[in-house]
Amino acid sequence: MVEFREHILSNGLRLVMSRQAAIPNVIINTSFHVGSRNEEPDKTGISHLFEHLMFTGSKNVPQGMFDEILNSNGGESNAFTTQDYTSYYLSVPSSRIELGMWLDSDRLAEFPVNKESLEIQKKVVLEEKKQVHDNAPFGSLELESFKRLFPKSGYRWPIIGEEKHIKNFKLSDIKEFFERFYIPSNLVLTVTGDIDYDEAIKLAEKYYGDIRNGHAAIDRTYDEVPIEKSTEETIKDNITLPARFLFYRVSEAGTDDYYILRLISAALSSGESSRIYRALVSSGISSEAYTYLSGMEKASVFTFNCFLNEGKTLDDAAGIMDDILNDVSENGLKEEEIVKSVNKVETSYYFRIQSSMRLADSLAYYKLFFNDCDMINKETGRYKIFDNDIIKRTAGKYIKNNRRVTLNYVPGRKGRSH
Amino acid sequence: MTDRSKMPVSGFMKDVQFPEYREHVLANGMKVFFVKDDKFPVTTCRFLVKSGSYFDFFSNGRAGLATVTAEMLNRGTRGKTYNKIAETIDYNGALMSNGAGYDASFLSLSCLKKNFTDMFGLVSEMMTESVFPEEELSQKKSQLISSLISLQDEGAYLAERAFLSILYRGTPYEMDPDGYPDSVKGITRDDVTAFARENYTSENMILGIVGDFDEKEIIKSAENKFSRNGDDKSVRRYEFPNKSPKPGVYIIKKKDAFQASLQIGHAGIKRGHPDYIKTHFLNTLFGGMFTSRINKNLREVNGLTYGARTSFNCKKYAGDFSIETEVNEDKTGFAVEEIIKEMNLMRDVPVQEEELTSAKNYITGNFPLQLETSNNVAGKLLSLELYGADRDFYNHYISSVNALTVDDITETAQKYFRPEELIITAAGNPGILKKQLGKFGVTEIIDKVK
Repeated sequence: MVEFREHILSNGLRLVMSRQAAIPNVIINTSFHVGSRNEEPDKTGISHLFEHLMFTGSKNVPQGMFDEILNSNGGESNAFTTQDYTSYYLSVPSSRIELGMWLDSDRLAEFPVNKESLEIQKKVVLEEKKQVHDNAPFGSLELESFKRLFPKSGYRWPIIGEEKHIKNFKLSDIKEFFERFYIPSNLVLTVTGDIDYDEAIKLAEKYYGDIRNGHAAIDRTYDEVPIEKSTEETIKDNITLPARFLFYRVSEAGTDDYYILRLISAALSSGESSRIYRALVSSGISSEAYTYLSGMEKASVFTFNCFLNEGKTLDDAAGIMDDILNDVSENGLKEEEIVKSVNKVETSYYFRIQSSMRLADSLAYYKLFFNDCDMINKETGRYKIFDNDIIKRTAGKYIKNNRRVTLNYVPGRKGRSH
Repeated sequence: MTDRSKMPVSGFMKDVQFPEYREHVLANGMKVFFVKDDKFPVTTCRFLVKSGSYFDFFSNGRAGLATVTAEMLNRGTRGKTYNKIAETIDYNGALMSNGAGYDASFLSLSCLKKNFTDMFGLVSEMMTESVFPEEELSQKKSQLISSLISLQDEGAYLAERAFLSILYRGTPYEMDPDGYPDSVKGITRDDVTAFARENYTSENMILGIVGDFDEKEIIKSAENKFSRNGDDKSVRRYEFPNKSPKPGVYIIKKKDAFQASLQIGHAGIKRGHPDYIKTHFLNTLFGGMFTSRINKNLREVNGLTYGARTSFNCKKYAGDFSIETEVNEDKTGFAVEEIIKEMNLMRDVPVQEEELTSAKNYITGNFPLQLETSNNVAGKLLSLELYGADRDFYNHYISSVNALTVDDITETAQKYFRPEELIITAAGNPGILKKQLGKFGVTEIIDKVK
């Protein structure tokens, strides 16, 4: 059981705390309910670029000194951006919790970015885009799949954004973005580790409680068109061995359907006794094959990846991949497959909450999207109530009767145009 | 409004002790380390065999043999088939990993406390009674070969692999622990069986158990499983050359690259070297943290890369120092100039007291995070034993770091940063890289990394 406490600051900011005194450090996590899907179609990548800019200094923290001050006080920081939210964390020795909150909150109290930092971080992000996407084998998967799965909504462009948008951002764009989204009502502050609850509340009130709240309503609508027909594309990439990827648009995170699909995914592909491992890897067709579910706010993506062994063709894998999915839609899972997956979920849960950083991550996520931190304690139990009828029905609904996107990655010269 | 103009005064950092552990020696001499942690109902056991790919060198060039052997451990024992083992592990919800590096092979398994006794029996069986079935071996090999082929598509892998092969040429550390497509193809069941027979012996193995467990029960089970002693393993000594090979520029062709993948460095020190802490500290300041000199220069000031880091890789018998980064290909030459400039600055100009203190605090403050999970604690304990390091190493670690002086850093930099010995490897567009890097020395173009 993870114990936690919640508190609302005077400006409405939501504070979540969990004391874990195994080590004398504190994690301060600030998670903002804004991600790439909330961007304008002609200004993609601003959420992620802004994440970089949060580390460049602020009114009372000189340019380039955020991490200098943090590192020199025994701290460390990082952040990530998804389609739905942006999350920052810093760790500090517990005696320096006030310093951590001062550093973190100063960049929220007033617009923290200057032109020079913006221009440097644009370059850094463009190099990140090359390293993670353009120059990496299969680095275009997110781009190629999401634009087909989500033809209309903000999920259709990649988190990192388009190069021409990144290059064109002006300081005024960044300021507008900050004022709109980086406000207390759009943020959950989570503090874990070696804390005293009362002290944490007092310090949070001091440093975060006086931050201005914005008024602009944030448009969170999600409007997507049905996928009319299954599509299959061949994508050339700088790779030697081909791979096949199937994508299904499925229920958003947190629903029963979502957890059932996660159970199905775990059953099909975790461990060397799983169906997928046996049919595709042990049989010598694939070096790596698995399904996974990426949970998102308004929809999730169920993916089936299969990387081919030398000498095997896409056709060798295609039929087997279909057979596995058809079988689960028609017959569901076997009793022992359900037990195996539930057991694996339970083991993984304990290893996740051992780390105060991952614990802060989870609590922030549950609070931000479900307003329910206790999901961390209830989640494992949710898997235990599903029987095979409901599993079969759900697989049928999303996998059998749903239109899918198939991408066949083959060796070839990848264009350098984008 | 809160006055934010003043930085809050910092408190003292608490002293952190390495978690308590108990050591037990089995009747056959095998060492077992116990770290009790009952915060969560889970347990991890980690077997370490003190032989890794270093020993491939003595097996007729069968690069990848230690890895294949370790990865075959769950694929069949005298009493159980691969399928049976996989079913049991998965049914118990256990998480297992097995593989090999340069100096050791390992098998690690984590599961719920209630399943641990059964699982421990099973992994003990894998460590002592594996039979390496022919059919499973051939499948494992084709899987590994395909992964190795795909690795060749990654610029960072090509640069790193070329760098290590050139630096360690002719020595037991030259080859990739995972091997190469051709060398893995040649591995036979006899090779694997012989490797296991010679290396998976009780006196060559260490075991770490962390989490919530019954110590007596584990000792009883281990005494029972590991009662046999292996054959005496002859120690394979190799005299490592004292100096770095010829410096130069090596360009690995990757014509569709969007960036240049760089790996630059020279020889370093082995893990047991008395200057280990000094080089570790120097590295933190130079390229081991976000605000290190190298990352600050290449990323935060010049915007040439998403990130750059440096490391002293200390193996059991030798080591290397290197900088790795992926940079804008049109600025590759400039990036290398800046790296060399930073190395020289470190040698020529004493660090400011403030920078020294900052790096000390960084290490001190972050150290507890490395001890937070029981897996990390087990890993650190077993490494000390593997490398023959002082058992109290982690208890003295923070005080040793905090005792370092400005002069120590300058001396260490002068001794272990040697710009004139740099081997520069870069994977990317050969036309661009040749122009960018030609000025740094004799340039060789490499078609394929092996």
